[in-house]
Amino acid sequence: MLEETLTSVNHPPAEVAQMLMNYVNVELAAGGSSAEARFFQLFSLICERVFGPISPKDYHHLIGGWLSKSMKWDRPRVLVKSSLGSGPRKYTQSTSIQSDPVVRLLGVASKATSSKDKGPLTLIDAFAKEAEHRPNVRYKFPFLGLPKSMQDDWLAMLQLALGGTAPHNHQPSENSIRLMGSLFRVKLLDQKQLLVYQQSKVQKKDQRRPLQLNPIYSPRSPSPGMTLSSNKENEDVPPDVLLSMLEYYLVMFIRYPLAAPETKSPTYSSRQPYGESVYFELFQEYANYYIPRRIPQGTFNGFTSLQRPSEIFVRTIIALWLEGQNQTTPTSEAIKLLQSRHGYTRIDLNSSFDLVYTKYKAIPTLIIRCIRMVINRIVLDGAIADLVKDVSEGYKGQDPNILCMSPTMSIFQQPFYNHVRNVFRYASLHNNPTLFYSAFNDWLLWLEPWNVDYPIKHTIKGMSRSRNDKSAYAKPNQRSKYKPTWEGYIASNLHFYTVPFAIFLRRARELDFSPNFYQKSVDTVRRVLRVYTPEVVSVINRLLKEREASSDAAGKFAAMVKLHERNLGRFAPPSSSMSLSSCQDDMKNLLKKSLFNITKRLKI
Amino acid sequence: MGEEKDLFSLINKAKVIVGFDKDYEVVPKNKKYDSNNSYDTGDNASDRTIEGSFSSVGKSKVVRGIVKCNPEDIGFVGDRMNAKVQSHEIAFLVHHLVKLSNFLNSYLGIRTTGREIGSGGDALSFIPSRINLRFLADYRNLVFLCLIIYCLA
Repeated sequence: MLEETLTSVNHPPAEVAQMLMNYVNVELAAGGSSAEARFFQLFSLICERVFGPISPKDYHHLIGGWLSKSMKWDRPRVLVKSSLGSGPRKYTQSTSIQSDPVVRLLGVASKATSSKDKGPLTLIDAFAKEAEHRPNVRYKFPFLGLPKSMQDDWLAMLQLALGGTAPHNHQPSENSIRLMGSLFRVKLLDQKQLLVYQQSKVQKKDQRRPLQLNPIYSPRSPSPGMTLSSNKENEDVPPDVLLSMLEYYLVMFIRYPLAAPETKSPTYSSRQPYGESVYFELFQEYANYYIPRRIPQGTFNGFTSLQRPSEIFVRTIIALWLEGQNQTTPTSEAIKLLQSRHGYTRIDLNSSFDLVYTKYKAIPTLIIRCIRMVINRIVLDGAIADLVKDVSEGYKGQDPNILCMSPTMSIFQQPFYNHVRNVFRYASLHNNPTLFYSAFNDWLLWLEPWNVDYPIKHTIKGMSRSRNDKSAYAKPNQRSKYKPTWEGYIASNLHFYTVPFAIFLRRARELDFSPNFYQKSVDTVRRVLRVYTPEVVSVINRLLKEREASSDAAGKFAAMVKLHERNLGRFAPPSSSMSLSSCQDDMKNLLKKSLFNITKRLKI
Repeated sequence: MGEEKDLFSLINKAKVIVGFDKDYEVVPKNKKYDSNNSYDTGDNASDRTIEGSFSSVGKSKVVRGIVKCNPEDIGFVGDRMNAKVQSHEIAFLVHHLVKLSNFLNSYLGIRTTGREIGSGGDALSFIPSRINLRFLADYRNLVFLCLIIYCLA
């Protein structure tokens, strides 16, 4: 019955979701191997119904999935208590998106309730449980449906694992190494289809010098001729990668905005398609669940440990949305490129703009909103405030080499740094500027965690919605709440205060200072400059000087800056001396442009 | 003005961040600004004609990169009566007064001469050659007129 319902496209999503919830909470919750076996089969159907089938041509989802629907679907009449108190009870039908059966089925709402009063089991709970208890249940995901950079990383890692060298000195990113190398349940060398595909690629590239593989991993082939013929067959069949249930679902979910079918929003309004609203709601719930945060406790008691599913969630976002869309050239290569074009150039902070080389691809709006949500979650972790306070008071903890950041923030630092640099360098300021301003807001939020107003303890569970987070963006005339205790945080993120700032100053000349947009443009500049209070500037300048000094110069936070640069890896700025004063020319140009626009109007 | 105040605060912050000198001005008032920049310090008397456009000497200097133009130096070119509404004028009054002035000029058969045109002016430029009531849209003149009326009344 359920199988038939799931295969039919015309069944109303809310009704099917309700049926699935009943199944998960009754039949699956009761246990038994037959219920489990049925669930494994249902899983593929559920994914197909939610996201739509994947086209074998371009690996995009076809229209028909629930998330691709533009119109709001009918919901069964569920009455929800609408008022509290001792008066007569009034019941109304809830219209909020959280009460949509699809959101309740796929979301993680049950986690918000107390441990005693557990809500109904949702699908994501079931996926996580099954992935934990049945690690050998695997699902095939089309390898060619992944972003090109992820494919290259995966193949390069395979080649390295087989004892070869990475092709064209392609170094897999740290994120890919961690995600595909150790987090995914199926190990690299167990991805048999991928091994065959990789081998056929290598052989195709260099027919004269076939790769010497360990016989265990090479396809069974008594003669070289047969190897080639079997490879040819395999070449025609696109390979699949094997993923556990939760991994498959998360990869499918996070990849969805990149592979979503084109849908038309309802003609009668400019509102976003309903499927997108459901997606964003689900994403918020997943982000709240997988990216832990808490309010400041007064003393640092360690960060909430990052569980495997959480790390998979965060790293998949990075792999698909950030690294998958725009691959930044490492600093050393960028310097070579720059100097080959312009001859010898002095590399300082002023070169930051020129050192960003990317084949830039704009990110879809839905992803921009989701990234904003993730950055909000990461930066607004009260444990960071506790840590910086303790560090300023001399805390070293068990690990003397610590950065004043949560584990999630450390993971996100390098890809987010590259994301900001790419967007500042390439995104348009006038034609669809949402991407630019979104990255701009996220960057400012990252720079000033000290401006956060943490909610009081008993509201922490309810602070999941984005409207609470939006208030975190500082206004142009808002006073900075910086205190010297935050110096450790600046040291841990030093190049966020320097490099994107230099690129922004270069681009800020493009802001529109004509009468209609003058205030908006000036406010944009003021929002950046207000971060750089005299105290913050003096800390930055001191840290930059300490960075230049030899390693024996033991500044209190010099070690943190070094760790920060190590975290940025190949994308860290060059080791040459850097100073904010090298941005004087860009600042002059910006001020001149805004001044001339005023004087033109005043004097004619 | 609010805009100038905004800009002033931006300049002060910029001084702190990128380390400008304390007396840094975006465009120095004495025009001999930017002592590091020889472009702007040269004697430019021979660079321009009386009308304000570049002379052949000036043009060649620009082409060779010896001088550069400062937008501040560009004088107004055109008919002041038909200029865009300025920040010290009341927009709707400007439009109506210009229309009225044009009507009176054509009604009285006054030919609009080029005497008022251009930013420069000769010794007789204070004598109006046509009716131009645009000054009545100027806030400053209106305040002044109100004061006179108030004193007389």
